Amino acid sequence: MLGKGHIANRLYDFLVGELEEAERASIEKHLQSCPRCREEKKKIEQALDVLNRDKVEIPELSDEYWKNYWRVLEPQLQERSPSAAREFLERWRYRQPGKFLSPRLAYGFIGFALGVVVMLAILFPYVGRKSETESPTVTQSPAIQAESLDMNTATAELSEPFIRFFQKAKAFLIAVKNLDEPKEGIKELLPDRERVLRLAAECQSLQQQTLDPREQELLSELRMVLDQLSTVTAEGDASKLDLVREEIERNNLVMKVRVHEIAHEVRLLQTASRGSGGND
Amino acid sequence: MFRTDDRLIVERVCQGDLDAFRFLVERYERYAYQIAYRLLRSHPDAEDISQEAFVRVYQNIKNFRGEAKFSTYLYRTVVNLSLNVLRKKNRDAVDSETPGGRERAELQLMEQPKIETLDLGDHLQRAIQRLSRRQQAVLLLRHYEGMSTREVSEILKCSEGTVKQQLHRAMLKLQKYLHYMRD
Repeated sequence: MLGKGHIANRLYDFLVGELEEAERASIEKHLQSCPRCREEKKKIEQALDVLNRDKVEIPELSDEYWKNYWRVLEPQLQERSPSAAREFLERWRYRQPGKFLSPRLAYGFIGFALGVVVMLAILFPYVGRKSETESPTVTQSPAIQAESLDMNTATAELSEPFIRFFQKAKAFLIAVKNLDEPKEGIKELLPDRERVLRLAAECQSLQQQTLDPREQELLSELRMVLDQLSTVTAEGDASKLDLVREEIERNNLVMKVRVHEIAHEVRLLQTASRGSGGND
Repeated sequence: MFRTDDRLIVERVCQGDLDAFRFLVERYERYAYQIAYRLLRSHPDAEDISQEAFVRVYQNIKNFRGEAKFSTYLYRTVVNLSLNVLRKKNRDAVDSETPGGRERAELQLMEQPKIETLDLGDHLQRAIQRLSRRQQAVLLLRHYEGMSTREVSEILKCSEGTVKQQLHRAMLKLQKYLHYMRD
């Protein structure tokens, strides 16, 4: 993407002939002296060429169809007339002096309240579980305490490899995202192929260990990206690398990895605090 | 001219006059259908979405303050609903065979026939589906519907600069994808 001083964002208008003469002339002048903008212009021309060849033929629908359109629509309108809640909000808004509460603000409050309820619902089982584990410790037999400690250790053992993997994957994804232009970036990536293969193998083994469907999904997305990166073996594979980078961006992979990493860290901390509570 | 008429009709609709809404539907039903069809390229989908858009507009008619044209308000709804359908279709196609569904879908993409042997429209639609929702909307309205940058910015509630930038990015992405398919 070209920065300030270039004419990239006006190339479409220029190519479809929608610019004033003066602006057109200034773009032509710029193109003569700027090879990067000439390159971008060529790309936009290629895309336009394909778009112009693509003719979407919209079906010619009969007059009969359009006469029936309202007949089909009317019952839906009657059935789904404006909701009572919305009416209430509208009335409330106009009764308040100075439009105290706009519907948008009201929805904001409702959203916030729902958020609080959802958070409580998420936290409640943990609170409940904590009180369940804390109160019986007074009467628990040493055997039960030992068993509970074993379980904590198992959970910790389960989370640690995930945290290590997510940390490595996150660092790698960020590095791939921040590569320079693909052609240059690919030179930086080639020596890292071993690392890609190692991460892919690690990812595969973790896929078999996790029970969380969202984590399964993330791991399969990561594996797909890593598998694709492992096929980038020559400098000519720049477009492949570019697609992978887009995939990382489009699926927000770095953020998802970070979220799962934090989730495991939290689990680990909870286990540790339960363990220390059990020891007391 | 149209704008004034529409606003008067909308006022009547707000007072509960369903017949007045019928005027608006008859005026814009074809446009709504065309926009949905261009995005979805399927008659049943375009039919469902155009009708759903009218229902949504009717439900929210009191929020329409007449600052924009009624047609802009309607188009925005049609575009948003159509893009939701496209996004859902994409997700369903990927999720249908999980685990590993996305992997297979991506492999399919890599292994699909080259551009000369497949219908251009199919390829283009796949390429368009890879754009962000906003880029899809900008491309559709600006290129296919022939709307001006200003009209698109009003429909999508963003600046004209953003429209130009998104269109440029969309074109570059399309070129890259189509170039990749040709190689």
